[in-house]
Amino acid sequence: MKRMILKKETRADKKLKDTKDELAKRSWVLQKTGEALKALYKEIDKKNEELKKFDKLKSQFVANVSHEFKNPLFVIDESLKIVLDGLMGDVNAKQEKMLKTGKRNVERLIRLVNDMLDLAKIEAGKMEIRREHFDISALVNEILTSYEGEISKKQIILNTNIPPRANLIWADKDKISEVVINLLSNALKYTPLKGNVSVKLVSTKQEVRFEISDSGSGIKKQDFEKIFDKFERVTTGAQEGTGLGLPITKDIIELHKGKIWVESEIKKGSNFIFVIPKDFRDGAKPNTTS
Amino acid sequence: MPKKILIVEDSPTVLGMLKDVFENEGYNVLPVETGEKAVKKAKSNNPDLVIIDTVLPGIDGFEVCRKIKNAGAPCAAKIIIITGNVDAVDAEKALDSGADDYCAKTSDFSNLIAAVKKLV
Repeated sequence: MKRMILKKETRADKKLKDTKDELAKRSWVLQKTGEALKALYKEIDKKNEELKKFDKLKSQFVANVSHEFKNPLFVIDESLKIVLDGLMGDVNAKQEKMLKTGKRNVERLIRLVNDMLDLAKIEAGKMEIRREHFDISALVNEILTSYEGEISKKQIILNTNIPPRANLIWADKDKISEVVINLLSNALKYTPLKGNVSVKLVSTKQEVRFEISDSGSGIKKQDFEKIFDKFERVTTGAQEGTGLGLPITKDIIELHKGKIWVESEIKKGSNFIFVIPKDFRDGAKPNTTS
Repeated sequence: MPKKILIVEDSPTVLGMLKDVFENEGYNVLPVETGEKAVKKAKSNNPDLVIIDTVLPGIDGFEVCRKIKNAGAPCAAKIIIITGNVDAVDAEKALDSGADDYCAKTSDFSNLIAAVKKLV
């Protein structure tokens, strides 16, 4: 009897010891994993800081170089304009053609440099959004008029649905104009000859919604987000520009506390939509311009 | 007499860095790039401590640890398993193979130095 009890006790002791050992082992594993993970996170944080520093340096470099390019480009552009306007004497047809080619390309370079400067400003958090009271319907119509030449040259059928009455909003007129120009020029660029482009503006009490659809080649679903990312370049065939137009557009819309996205189907075309509040300043009374 | 540390790491760059770091700390470092060489070197050199990377060509770090521990006396080295791929399963494997410590492999070696100093 006594021996049996002793045996049972020994077994219970052994079980207890095993459990204790197992617990000690679990605790060691948890502690060591925790410590090791902490060290790895510290390493990742350190690497992130380094990358941020490099990214800032790169942005600064791009901004400096772009800035240096800007002034000479404006001087070339202005000089070409003066000669083309005949202020330096008569220009014959052949000369005019050459000068116009030069001017078109200088203008393109200026656009690229402006894109890069815009992006650098956004990255540095230096992009300022002014708050102006203006008629967005009038602005869109004005932009559409300036593109009439290109639209008729490509024989594009343009459908517009823009409220005729004044559609006043508080936003940065130049920046919103840049957004509309970006989206319109993209739509025209990717729409084939005799294709369709539609522009629609819908206004509610709180916000305005701008939609532009084209009958271009469309965008793959997996690229919907990528096209707005400055680090991605989605292959589209017609490559011209920095590929920064859409990232800048997105930044401008977001600085206005709005949203921009794309809906698209391959071979059918794309529809770019942005929505911005009629006044991006929460709770601000629309009575001052700053 | 400086303490001897055997380091097993397949990346020559990391191995070189670890060698410099521990020599700087006053240890006598024996660097090797494979598990097989490590087992042999552990037997012939009796290090006080072995640092082993988990991922190695041929036999992996846990197996190297087991082999060195099973060799018994005269080799009674303490062992630290290091890894760039931290998880609890690996930590448990390290313990089961007889390791005395388990550390993350980072570019900041302070954790590893502290762990080594605790053991030897």
